[in-house]
Amino acid sequence: MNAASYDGVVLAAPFSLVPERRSQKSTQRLIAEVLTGVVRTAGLSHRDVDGLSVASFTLAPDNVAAMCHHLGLSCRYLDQPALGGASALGAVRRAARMVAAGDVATVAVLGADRNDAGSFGRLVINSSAFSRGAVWPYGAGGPNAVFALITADYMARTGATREDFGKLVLAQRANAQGVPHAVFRDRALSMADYLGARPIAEPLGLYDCVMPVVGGEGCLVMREVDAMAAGLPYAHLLATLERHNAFAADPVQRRAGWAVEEAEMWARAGSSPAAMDCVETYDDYPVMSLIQLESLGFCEEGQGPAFVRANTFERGGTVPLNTSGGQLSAGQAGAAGGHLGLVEALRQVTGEAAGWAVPEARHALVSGYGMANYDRGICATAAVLATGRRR
Amino acid sequence: MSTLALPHCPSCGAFHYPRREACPHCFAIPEAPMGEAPASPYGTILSTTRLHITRDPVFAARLPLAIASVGMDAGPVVIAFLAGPLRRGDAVALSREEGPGGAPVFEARALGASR
Repeated sequence: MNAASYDGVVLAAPFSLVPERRSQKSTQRLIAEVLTGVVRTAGLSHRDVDGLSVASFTLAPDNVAAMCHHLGLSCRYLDQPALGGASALGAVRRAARMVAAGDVATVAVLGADRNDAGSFGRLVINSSAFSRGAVWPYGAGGPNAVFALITADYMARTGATREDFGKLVLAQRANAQGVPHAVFRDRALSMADYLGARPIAEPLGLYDCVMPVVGGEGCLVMREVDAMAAGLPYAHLLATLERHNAFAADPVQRRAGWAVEEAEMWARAGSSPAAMDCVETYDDYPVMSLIQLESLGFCEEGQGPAFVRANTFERGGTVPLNTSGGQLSAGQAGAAGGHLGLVEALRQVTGEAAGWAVPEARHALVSGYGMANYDRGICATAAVLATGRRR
Repeated sequence: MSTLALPHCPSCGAFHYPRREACPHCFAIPEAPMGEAPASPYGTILSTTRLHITRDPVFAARLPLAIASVGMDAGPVVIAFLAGPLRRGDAVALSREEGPGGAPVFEARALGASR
């Protein structure tokens, strides 16, 4: 495949809601708040937005068309990605092509979810007919058991230790400190805390699991000429990838669609893993960060533990990883979990992460992963961002 | 020889799990809903966990739950409860049981020298 470039299309106006553990807010209100936050960040009007993408698990019975009406927008592009944690980058890929083709000018790419304990909305996350029929009868009405099986297999195959995962978790916790929208921004964590945490699904302990929060994230996909005219900081989209249900014959998930597409993505980007100033993986569990780093070419498959031991992952480290804390320390706002890394990468390469910047970050890798179906996640996406115009 | 019923494609003969409306191997759509056929009940433990939390009150009194993924000789990978102290790589025989929640579950038992 020889995909066209995204020349002339940029990302701008990163916005994150400050998450809450519990809230009475409706999903519709959260989406309205994220949209308004994005529009204000851009210094634009709601009337400038002619495309809307909304990812949410808790929006039913509404959908993106109902939200277009609800929000008072008039759009010529609506999109509701259903790719779980891969939704944000799936949305960016589609929006960028539509903008490049001239079918739409300014797309708000949003994700938001509420967090009603035990609600249907929360249960549908990581839910499917396969999961309900073939995983839930084992008492595992959520993804923890499935990712415990993936983690245990990874450890047995590669020699990864709990300390290796803990190193990532602690680095991300350090990265969250001072980030206003990170739920654990003022809560320190030690290796003793990590290793001694109560078990959730062995080998996973409490700090291997994300904290569900109420929140939302968003940004704009727009024409470069419009971003320049508005005086906005913006990022180029150098290349992206998307591949779902790859390696279906692997008995336990040890890689995903990234590994099929990564070489082509890096070639199109004219870049490489070593050139990335920050890396935002989809860290629903630490093992998935390692699998993404392997599948995206940062190290060979199975070499994740050696990569962890040879690098540091704080913002001043050799591989700044999940630089606002990731979902493990910033919280997981449902389907907006994949928007967290996108919005954070955009902030870093545009100089808009004031107070938690990776100095002079110009290139960022973002990865998405989603839809646990039966025994594995199905969806894989990634994107390489580069500075267009810094704040 | 004991067998275990698994979803089975009448066109290509492949077993799969969970049950699908169309065969993921040959893409055939059988006229009737995909049926089951007797398969080898044997397999190998791929990975194990002990689950310490559950949302389901039926399971709360049974924690922790010993759960594994099992690669079956017949092809599919199934999630199963473990009967006894079994580990990755162990050979097991699977049976279909009524689970604590009422839904059917697989149970994996150590395979003796009889295999």
